[in-house]
Formats: sequence, C-alpha cells, structure tokens
Amino acid sequence: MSWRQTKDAPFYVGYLNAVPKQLVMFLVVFSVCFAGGLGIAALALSSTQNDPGNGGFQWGNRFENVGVLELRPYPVLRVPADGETPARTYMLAGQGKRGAFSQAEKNQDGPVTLRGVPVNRGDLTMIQVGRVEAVEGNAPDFTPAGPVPLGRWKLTGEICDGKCYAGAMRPGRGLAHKACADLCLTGGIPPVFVSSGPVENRNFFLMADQDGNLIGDEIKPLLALYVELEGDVERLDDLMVFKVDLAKARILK
Amino acid sequence: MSVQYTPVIWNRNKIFYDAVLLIAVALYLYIYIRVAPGYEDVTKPIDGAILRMRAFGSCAFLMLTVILCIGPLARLDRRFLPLLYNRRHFGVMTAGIAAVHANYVLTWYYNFSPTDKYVALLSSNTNYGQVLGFPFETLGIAALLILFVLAATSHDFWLSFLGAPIWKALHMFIYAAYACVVLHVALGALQGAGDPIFTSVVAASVVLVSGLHFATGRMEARRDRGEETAKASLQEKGWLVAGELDEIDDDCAKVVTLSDDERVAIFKYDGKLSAITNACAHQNGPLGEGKVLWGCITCPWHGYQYNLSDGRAPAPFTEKISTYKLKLIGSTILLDPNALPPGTHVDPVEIGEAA
Amino acid sequence: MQSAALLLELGRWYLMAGGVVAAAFLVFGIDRVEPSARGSYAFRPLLIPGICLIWPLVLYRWFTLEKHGEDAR
Ligand code: HEM
Ligand code: FES
Repeated sequence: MSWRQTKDAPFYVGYLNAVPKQLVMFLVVFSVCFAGGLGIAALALSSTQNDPGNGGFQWGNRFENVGVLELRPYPVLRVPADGETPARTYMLAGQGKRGAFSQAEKNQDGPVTLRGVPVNRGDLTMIQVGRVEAVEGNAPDFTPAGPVPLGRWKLTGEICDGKCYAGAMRPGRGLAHKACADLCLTGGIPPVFVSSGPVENRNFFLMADQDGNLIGDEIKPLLALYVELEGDVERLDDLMVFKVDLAKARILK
Repeated sequence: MSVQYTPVIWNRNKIFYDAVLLIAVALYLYIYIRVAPGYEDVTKPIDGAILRMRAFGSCAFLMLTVILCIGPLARLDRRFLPLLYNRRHFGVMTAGIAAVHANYVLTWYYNFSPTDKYVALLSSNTNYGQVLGFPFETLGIAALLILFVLAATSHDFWLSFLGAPIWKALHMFIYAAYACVVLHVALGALQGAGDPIFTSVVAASVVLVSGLHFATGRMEARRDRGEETAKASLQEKGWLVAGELDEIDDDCAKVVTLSDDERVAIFKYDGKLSAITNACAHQNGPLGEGKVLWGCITCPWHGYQYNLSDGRAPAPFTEKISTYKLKLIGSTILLDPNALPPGTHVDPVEIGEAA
Repeated sequence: MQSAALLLELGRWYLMAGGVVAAAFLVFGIDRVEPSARGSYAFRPLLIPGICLIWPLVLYRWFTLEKHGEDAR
C-alpha cells in the first residue's frame, strides 16, 4: 500500500511563508543538529591531525658560512673544521621548488661565502641558498675530505624531497604529498631517503644513483611509498649519501 | 515554472535555508581553522594553507554527503521534504567550498615552482598504474568539474531548456562526483599515517549514503510489489475499480497504479473527485502525495500547482499534465485508464448524495 | 609535461568556444527557443558558466528546439 497523504499531516510548500507548526519544531531541531554536528566534526577532524614534526625554516638563525661548493651529485657546501667543530657538509636548495645547481656550477673555482636560511628537522639540514659570493683575496686553503665508504646496505623507508621534509612544508611527506615532492625533485631539490633503521645513528640520506650520479625520472614511481632500497652508503663529513641501485628497489607498501 | 525567469526567486524559506547553511559552514570552518588547532597535539603547527585546504576539502565532502542523504530521507520521512526544496543552493555552495579547497592546493603544493601551477597539477604525478601513489588529485579534478557543471545548470531555465530527461541524466552525475571524492580521499589523505577519526568519518559517510539509498530502494520496491494494479470493473466495460470513496481524505489523493510507470492520483475536494497523472511536470514529483490548496493540486516537492479539472498550471504558468475520466457507482470509484492529452478538461465527478 | 600543457590548451580553447556560444545564444538563441526567457535579462549572465561548460549540449538543444519546437521538450 502506498504512503498516503492525510488531511491532518503537515504540508510544506516552500514559497509559502507559513510553515506548518509541527514542522517548524522539527526543522529547528534539524538545523541545530546539522550545524552542531558540523561543528563537532570540525573539532574532531582538525584537532586529531597527525603531528607534522618539528621541522621548519629557522628564520631567526640565518646561515652564513665560508666553504666550497661541490656537486655530489646534488649541490652541497663543504665547510672546513673550525677549532672544536668538525668539518660539515650541507645540502643546498634554491628558493621555492628549485635546486641550487646554477649557483653551485657558477662557483666551482674556489671558496665562497654562502648566506641562506636553514630548514631543519633533527639532524637533517637543508640550506635555502640566498646569496653566494666568491671569497676575495687570501682565501683559506681548504681541500674537503673525500667520502668515507660505509659498506653496502639494504634500507627500508620513504623517499622524500629534502626541502619539504626538512620542514619547508608541514607536513611535507606521505602519499598526500607525493605530487608535491615530485614537483620539487623536477625543480632540482635533492631527494632524501628517510630510513626506518639507522646507519651510524643517522636516518637521513642524500640520494644518488649507484655510480654517484643524479637520479632521473625512474625515482618518481617510488616517491612517498614505503620502499626497500639497496646500495652503498658513504659519509661526507657529517652527511650520509646513499648510492642506490633503483632497479633493485622494492615497494613494500 | 514557466513565468519570466529571474536569477533567484527569493522567499523567506529560502533565506532561512541559506542562512542555516551559511552559519553551519562558517561554524565548521571557524572551528577547524581557528579553534581546534588549540587542541592539536603537534610539535609545530601545521602550515596555515594546508590547514585551510583540509578544512575546505572536508567541509565540501561532508556537505556532499548531506546533499545525497536528503533525497532518500525525504522519501522515508516526509518531514524532511523542506530540505529538498532549496537543495540547489546547497549544491552551489558545496561547489564553491570545493573550489576554495582546490585553490589552496594549487597555490601551495603546486606553487613556488618554475613549472606553471596547472601544468604541474596535471603532470607531477602520473603513476596511474599504482593504487598506492595513484594521482588522487585527478579524481578531485573530475569531482570538481562535475560539481561545477551541476551548479552551473541548477537554474530552472536549464531544466526547461535541456528537457527533463537530459537534465536529470546530467544531475545523476552527482553520484559519480561523490564516488570520485571518496576515492580522492581514500587514495590520498587516508593513506597517511593512520588517522582513525577521519577514516571513520569517511566510512560513516559511505555507509550512510549507500545505506539510505538501499533502504529507500527496498521500501519503494516493497511498495511497488504491495501495490496492486487496478482491476477491471466487472459491471462497466473498459473501466477500472480505483477504490472506495472513504479511502481518500478531503483535499488529498489516492494513487492508483495502472502499470509500472503509469500512476494516477485521484483527488477528493469540495465534494468532488478528479483524476490526473501522478507525475509532476517539474521533476516527476509524486503529485498524489501532495494536497489541494486554494483549489489547486500542489506538488509536495517544490510546490508546482495544477487545476484539478484540466491539469493545467494556473496562469501565468503554462505546464500541463494528463487528466483521466472518473465515474462513481455507489461509493466505488471507477477510472478510465486511457490518459487524456495533457491539459484536457474533464468535468469533476460530484460525490453528492452518493456518499 | 607536454601532454599536460596540451590538455590545458585544449581546455582553454573549449572554454573560449563556450564563450562564443554563450554570447550567440544569450543574444539571439534564447529568445527563439525559450519563451519564458523573453524579456528577462537579469538572469542571463547566470547562464554563462553553464554554457561555457556544456556548450556542445547547448548547441544540440538549440538546434533541436529550433527544428521541432516545443515537441522536443
Ligand atoms: C582540482 C581539484 C582537487 C585537487 C587538486 C585536490 C587536491 C587535494 C590534495 C592534494 C589533498 C591532500 C591534502 C593533504 O592531506 O595534505 C586533498 C585532500 C582532500 N580533498 Fe581534495 N582536491 C580537489 C578536489 C576536491 C573536491 C572536489 C573535494 C570534495 C568535494 C575534495 C575533498 C578533499 C578532502 C575531504 C580531502 C582530505 C582533507 C584532509 O586531509 O582532512 N577535494 N585534496
Ligand atoms: S517535482 Fe518539483 S514541483 Fe513537482
């Protein structure tokens, strides 16, 4: 039997201003529940978002150092030891989603003064390069140390773009961020491997292909996924470099 | 309604409807963006642009969920019919909120790069062969385009110009949009490090939307099965027995099924009976579930009106629907199953002393 | 990258063609095929986005309504 309209049932006609009394109460209750429900949902969804970590731009702690620019294969700044502080190697990126290749290529001949802003998460530091100037006159004589091989490793973790993950975007990792990371790598930002297990207490690795050259588009399908990579690990001062054989990469999840 | 078109025909109920909608949406965004971060357990705050992007995205998703629930709710319980009345404004607002979400994505994730934003959006991730790592943004684009088309064709002009079949087919794409959004979220945001609350909200939305549609579908199917096709009259050749007079309330109707897709509404009013097709000329609303107001049949969905005697909308409107002939024998109503051309005048049957 | 740029270019042309159709339809067509629109002008700009998005459908309906009149509705 079909539903049947009755004489006493309230009947709503939108363009009539008079809304039946029985309906007014119902609609008011519904409106309150609707708005309240959305409010509660907002609170629940927003307050439980995942912690993007402590990475971020260190605006108050500008970077200025004298060192040598190298391509290994991504641009890095090698800073000599100074008294107590041992020699350091910094990864470099340009403004926005750009690499620092042009600055590094132009200043290969001698020591430079590099100014920029550090982006930092734990012991991962990426310098957003501001100004690079060749050091005039009596430059200190400095030859950076060669890489120290640490053997062959099989590591699991995620390939990120080194700048966003360091904190240029919060959050700056994960599948929701995959396309963004892809765009960063296209722009020349160095890929960084975030390992779930440490090598010499370090979890972040600048990536290169197995011969130590730049990685091409073959890395794209692996970005932001949980992967297992195999390759040689080297240490450049304090920076770990992972020379991976991407042909052997396995997607775990 | 075929009277001169205006951008929006405002009335008090629409203003109230939109006000509630705006308040609810503003409340959602305000709490998400301003209040809740105070309760977040984070080392450093989430980027403002990402926070707002998530606020607008999830808001659009929840709005889409509610929009899809209104239809079946109104079938299950007639008190929800007022929500149907101005649903198009709900849809337009949802498209707008979703557009803001997309714009935050474009001006944050796809900005700051030497590549053009739009090119970057389409070309950054092209791993269409992967499930994990699938370019879920493309699903968002598809959903947004659908929402735009539906919002842009929501004015009554489009219903009349495209014709009801095309317009309705077009607007069925709302389900495709919903499916795209669910996948957009499932393959994107939900792949992050387990977010049980958001996951349950999305799951609840899917269960609610499909559950309500399933329940309504079953209810209608049961109703169809329980509804007997009207039987031929034994005394009067060519007439069907439509029912008894006392089955119908004053100013209300009884719906008689002739075949699967032909139903007739028989109205009782002012001591008279008239029969017209059950399908409203506007969006096929069930006229037999409407009432007679000021001598006109009034559709329960959007309130289109028709004269009882000829199925024509009162001037200045021009809609017409089919009418049917009736006859009264004792207190039994007989119906001539042959529909008359839309707008044909039929003298109402006087109940008079027969009742 | 090229295919993305090509797609965007196509999209741009599609919308521009839609703009032309919108202008033609709102100035000439709508009065011929939609009696209720005669004399109503305020709501017409509201139709522009829709026409730009689905202009092939608009052209199709315009021609069928011209040819078959009200029967096509
Ligand atoms: C051009 C179209 C779109 C693009 C490019 C896009 C892009 C994105 C991206 C990149 C994310 C990941 C955000 C993150 O968690 O960091 C996201 C999340 C989301 N999007 Fe979209 N989207 C689009 C359209 C839509 C539409 C039309 C809807 C809904 C109607 C929608 C609903 C959502 C929701 C609910 C989320 C999850 C937000 C959260 O994490 O809380 N998106 N979108
Ligand atoms: S269906 Fe809209 S008024 Fe009848």
